Amino acid sequence: MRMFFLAVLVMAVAGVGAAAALNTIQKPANQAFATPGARVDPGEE
Amino acid sequence: MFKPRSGVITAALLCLALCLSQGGALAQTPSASPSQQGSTTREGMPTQGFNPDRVELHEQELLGKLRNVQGNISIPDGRASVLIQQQGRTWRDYRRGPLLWITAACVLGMLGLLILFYLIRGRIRIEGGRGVATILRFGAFERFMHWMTATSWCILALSGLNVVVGRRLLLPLIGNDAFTTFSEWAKFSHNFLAFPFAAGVVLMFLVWLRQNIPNRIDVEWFKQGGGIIGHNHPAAEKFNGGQKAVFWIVMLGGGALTVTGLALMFPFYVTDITGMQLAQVLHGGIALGMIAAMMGHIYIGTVGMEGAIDAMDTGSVDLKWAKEHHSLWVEQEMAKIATPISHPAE
Repeated sequence: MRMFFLAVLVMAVAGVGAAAALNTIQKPANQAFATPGARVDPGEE
Repeated sequence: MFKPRSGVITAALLCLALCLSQGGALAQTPSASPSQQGSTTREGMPTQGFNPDRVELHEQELLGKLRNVQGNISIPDGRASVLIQQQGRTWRDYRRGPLLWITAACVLGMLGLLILFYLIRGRIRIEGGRGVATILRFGAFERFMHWMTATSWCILALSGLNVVVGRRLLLPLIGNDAFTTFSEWAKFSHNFLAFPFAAGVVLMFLVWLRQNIPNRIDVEWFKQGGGIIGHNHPAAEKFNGGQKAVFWIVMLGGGALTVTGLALMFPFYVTDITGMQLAQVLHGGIALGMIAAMMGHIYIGTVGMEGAIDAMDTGSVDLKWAKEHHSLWVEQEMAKIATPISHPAE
């Protein structure tokens, strides 16, 4: 089962890497869908 | 029952729709301008001009007649000009109805079939029991890429099912707070673990493609029920017909899930709202089909067949098992061992 545990470890690392990469590309909805004239969520700056 | 507040909402919606529509949708409705006519209030009093309390206005009727409502806007985001999109209702109705039945059919239906099959056929055992000799079936890298794909797939499937049926099944069991936390983490897991899953699919494609090209041996394997139906053992190479079918389901299904998933992960990058609704329907439908197929794959690889799990555990399988289920592959491997290594003349 060593390959199983190694695969889970690599999967987790790849998931964290994907999260970091996505966070540099994607923006929160309140920023992504806001315009200079409108904010989606006024509660957040 | 009609309430004054709902009447105000109805009137506001009507005004907004009148402003946005270009004469298409509302012009067809007989009640497009009844608010300008003399009418009666809830109390039956006659009124003149606009009357937000008109009893003749019903929100559902109004919404039913408003189909595609789109107009002109002054803000930069052109997508905001769409107030009502008819396909969105079709998509919502599909999610609320047929999708639930399809989910039940795929998951519960396959589970029922497997239980029934187990009760009828029982566990497929190695004839005469396990032997002493083993043969290496999958190397370390093959097992690694299989487990990475399989593990991420299981998390993706469960987190995806939570999107479809979690609110109905899980929420009543664990409560609002726990369900919210779980769904939030499930959503993160779904987005982030899609990448190791896609990487695993690509790796398996590269490593196992050559051995998964269908041929006449597979046709014969299927004709004989693969040894699963009945008790004979049709000849098979390293991957039998059933395994090749699973391979192509994963390749084509996994590829389609990756493409549709990326379309959903990056809204409006490559498609509009209708395209994303279509991508979501395809993503869910393909995933449910794959869930059913993988349930069968997991069953036959674990409880359904003695000795099968060894291939993904240690990589080495019982030689008797290998001869029963992959006789041509064993012959090829034996021939490699028997063939003397030739040395070039010095």
